[in-house]
Amino acid sequence: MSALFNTNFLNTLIIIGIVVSAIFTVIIDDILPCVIASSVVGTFIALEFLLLRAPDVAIAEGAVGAILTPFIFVITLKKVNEKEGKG
Amino acid sequence: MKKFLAWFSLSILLAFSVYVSFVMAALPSTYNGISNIIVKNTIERTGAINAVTAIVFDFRGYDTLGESFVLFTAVSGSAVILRNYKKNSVTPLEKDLKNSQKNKSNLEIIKEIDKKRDSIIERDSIIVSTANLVLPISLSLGAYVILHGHLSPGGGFQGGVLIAGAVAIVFLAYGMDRVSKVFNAERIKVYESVGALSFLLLGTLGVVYGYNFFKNVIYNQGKPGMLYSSGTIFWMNFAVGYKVLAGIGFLLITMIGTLNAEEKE
Repeated sequence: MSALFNTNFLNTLIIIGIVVSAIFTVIIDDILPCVIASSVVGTFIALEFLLLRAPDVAIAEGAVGAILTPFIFVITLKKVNEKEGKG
Repeated sequence: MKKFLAWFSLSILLAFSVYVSFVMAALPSTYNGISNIIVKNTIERTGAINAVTAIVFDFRGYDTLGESFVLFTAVSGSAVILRNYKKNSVTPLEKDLKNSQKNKSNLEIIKEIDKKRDSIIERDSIIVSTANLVLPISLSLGAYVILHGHLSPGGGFQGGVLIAGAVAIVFLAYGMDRVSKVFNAERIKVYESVGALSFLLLGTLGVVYGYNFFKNVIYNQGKPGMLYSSGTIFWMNFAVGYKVLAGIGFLLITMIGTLNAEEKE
């Protein structure tokens, strides 16, 4: 039971999460789920930075990778869809 | 043939990465090198508790200068592209209102647009109430991170990005018209330049006092660990945070502003 609360176990889980969500980012056909998967990658990487004792990088990665980049992608996607729908 | 080439290059890459990882594992520790000197002398030389901020704004000031100007160039480039788009476009609601009421002031037109939007789109009450809760928290967290950059984890860039996230929250809760009316994009662009300029001037302070560029000259004011200490690092945090929040906020506002716009005929 104590192994579940070990930092190494959490580390392994997070690395597996990074790899799985990165693979999802590549193989999903639809663009919007891809963007959300990339945001999940950003969140996992921020957690990993926190475990590696770099909290300032974790703040930057969490804000940029998990929020700003998907937000900009979603806005661009909306604009492109609008144009394609018209033409 | 193509498939063979792909697998061939992949296998070479794999073998190379295995080799490199073994070599990297055998590398000597760098703790006795320059990092040791920097970590040991941080408080004495700069008065900052947070060694990372001391490195970013003092020992490696040039890196931060280059980084901040990369951001400046990116924001300026997208501003050039998107502003051209915006100049040639109007939102449909604005077009209607401008045609019908030409003698009204700007504020009245904004109020009219808000009223019309309220009747067209119903807002999700969960998102609006969550945003009302989260918005002050994220703003004050960002201000805290900028203010305590030399004491606790974080710094100008992180706090600036956290504050700029407020634009995204306002957009999610209240829609794009509200964003482009609440924030004045032209003025925010000027604020970014002010932040960049003050960062440069703070770096020049070292030259004024007779040392090199980015020398921390007023570091002995205040005890290490107090809020006002560490000299120029404290002020550079402000300058960079202001610059980043204005730059990224401007980027988001211009991108959101193009969403609802139609191209003019």
